[in-house]
Amino acid sequence: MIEVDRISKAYGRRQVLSQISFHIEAGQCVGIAGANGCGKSTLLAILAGAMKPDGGKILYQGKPVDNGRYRRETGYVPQGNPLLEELTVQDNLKLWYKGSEKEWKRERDSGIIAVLELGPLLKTAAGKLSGGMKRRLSLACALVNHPRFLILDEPGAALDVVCKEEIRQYLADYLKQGGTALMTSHEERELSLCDRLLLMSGGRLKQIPADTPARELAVMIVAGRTVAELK
Amino acid sequence: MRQICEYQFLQIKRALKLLPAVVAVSLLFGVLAAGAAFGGARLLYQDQAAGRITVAVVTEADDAAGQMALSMLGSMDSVESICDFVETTEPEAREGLKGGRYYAALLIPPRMVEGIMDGTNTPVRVLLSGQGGLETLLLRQLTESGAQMLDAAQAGIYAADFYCGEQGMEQLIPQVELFLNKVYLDYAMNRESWFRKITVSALGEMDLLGYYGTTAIALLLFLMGIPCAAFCCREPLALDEKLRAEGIGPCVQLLVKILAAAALLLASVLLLAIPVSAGLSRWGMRRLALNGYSALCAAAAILVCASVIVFCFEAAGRLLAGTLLLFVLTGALIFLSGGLLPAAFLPGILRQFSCWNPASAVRGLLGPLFGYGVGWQAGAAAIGSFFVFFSLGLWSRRRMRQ
Repeated sequence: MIEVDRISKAYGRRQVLSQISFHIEAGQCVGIAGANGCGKSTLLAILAGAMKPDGGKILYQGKPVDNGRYRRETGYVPQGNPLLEELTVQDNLKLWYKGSEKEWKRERDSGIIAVLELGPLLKTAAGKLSGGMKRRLSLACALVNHPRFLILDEPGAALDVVCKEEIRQYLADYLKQGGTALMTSHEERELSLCDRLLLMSGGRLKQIPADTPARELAVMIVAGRTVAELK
Repeated sequence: MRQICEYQFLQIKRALKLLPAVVAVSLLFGVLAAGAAFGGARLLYQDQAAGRITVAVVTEADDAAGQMALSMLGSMDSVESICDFVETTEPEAREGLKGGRYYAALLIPPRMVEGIMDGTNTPVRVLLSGQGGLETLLLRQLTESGAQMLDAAQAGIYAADFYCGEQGMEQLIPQVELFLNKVYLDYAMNRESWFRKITVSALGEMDLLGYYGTTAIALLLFLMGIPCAAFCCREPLALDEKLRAEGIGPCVQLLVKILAAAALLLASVLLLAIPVSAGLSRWGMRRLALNGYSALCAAAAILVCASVIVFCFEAAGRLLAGTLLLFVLTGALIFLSGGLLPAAFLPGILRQFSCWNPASAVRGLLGPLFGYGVGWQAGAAAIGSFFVFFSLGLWSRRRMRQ
């Protein structure tokens, strides 16, 4: 479904991504783990189309991603919350919503807005929501158009355990319905949703077992090496 | 395109939420700016610093020549411009001086004119009030000037009499005196006819109200950015990323923001324009010329201001730093445009560039509100300023996002 071919990116002299290649099959969830500042968010921003790579290409269903179809079928949840805090929950959702008014009503009553329990808060200013609710709203902004491919940058970051678990549950539901996802995380619970795990270090990606225990994962993230390399 | 329109609509909606705060702070700034402009005008020109001076005049009822001389004195332009003469009796004049109704009293002696003619020169007694301040000082100066003028006139006549006597032409003395009296009186009464009247003003084609009015409004428009700070500050990085992912790049984002800021300024100005115009009219000044042309020019001025305001917050990156930058930049731009001190008084190098300053462009575009036209230079400066500040804002945004 997604094929990333030799993507490179540098900030000045600092090479963040070096010839990164990987692919994601339809219905798969791929997780990327790595230390802070290793380039995970940069890679996701490039995949989402928010940043241009210095080299390499990305193909979506065999075609380059610089077309409207990829944009329509992709949902992006950045690390922070992409919200206009002075405006209401409804305004924020409508900024990203691409459907008709009729579909909006259906979405509000029984779609993702209802599933994420944002219906009663539609008239509330986004700035007045709790951290967990803001994250939920950010997720709703990405899911409101029913994307086939979801890009999530640390979806549970800075949330309490209950909120993290709720977000994880929504993602699990999305994946059950056949969605494809790419996410970065430091959390074992979140990464447990993934079919494949990739470790990012030194601007490169290395495959690691999807069922890597938390302790081993932490060691690998800190060391920037896989268990096999460490041994 | 639909998403850009939705984003523009939401940004305007977000901006308009600040409308009450912007209007309230603008009223405060407006009062300060108007006070500063009014005070500056007074400081520079001493315009109308003193009121009219009422002077009591005491003459003999049957002294026709004295009353004629007084009438002549009252019609002299230097006297007429500031003095009002009130004929009265001596006790009433003294009472009026004590009560503050008169700044001075002139006690004209009987047969004063005859005294001047025959050289007796019985003096006019001038009683000055001790309470008049600036008005009393002015009157004292005027009286001394008048006495000197009279001295010069008499010296001229005596010199002519003496010359006629020396040359054995005594029979010509009355004729010479008549002629010289006529010349001196003509000179005193129609002094302006001896000079060509040319008005030279450092304010250019504008009058005082227009000049400082445009300055005050320009200053107000720029400083309106301070209560707009919450809106003008950069949005979260995540929003920028998501907008980019949706194909709304930094260029469109910045343009949307400038237009939304301009909409907020425009709405604030519309709310303030009606009471300000009514206030000007009530204080005896002319109303603002609110028509299609002036509204269009004002909208263009607002767009230039919005581009400067948004640039400040984009470049500074933080609310406080942005506010400080806007404040300093506004002060500098207004000063360099000749808004506080007319450009004619600025050093040559600054004067040359003052017309290309965004504040000059804004002031020029506000001219139609006071009934003046917009020169091509102001129009070109406005377009140039918008693009320069838009480009600088875009450069700042891109630099900070990297």
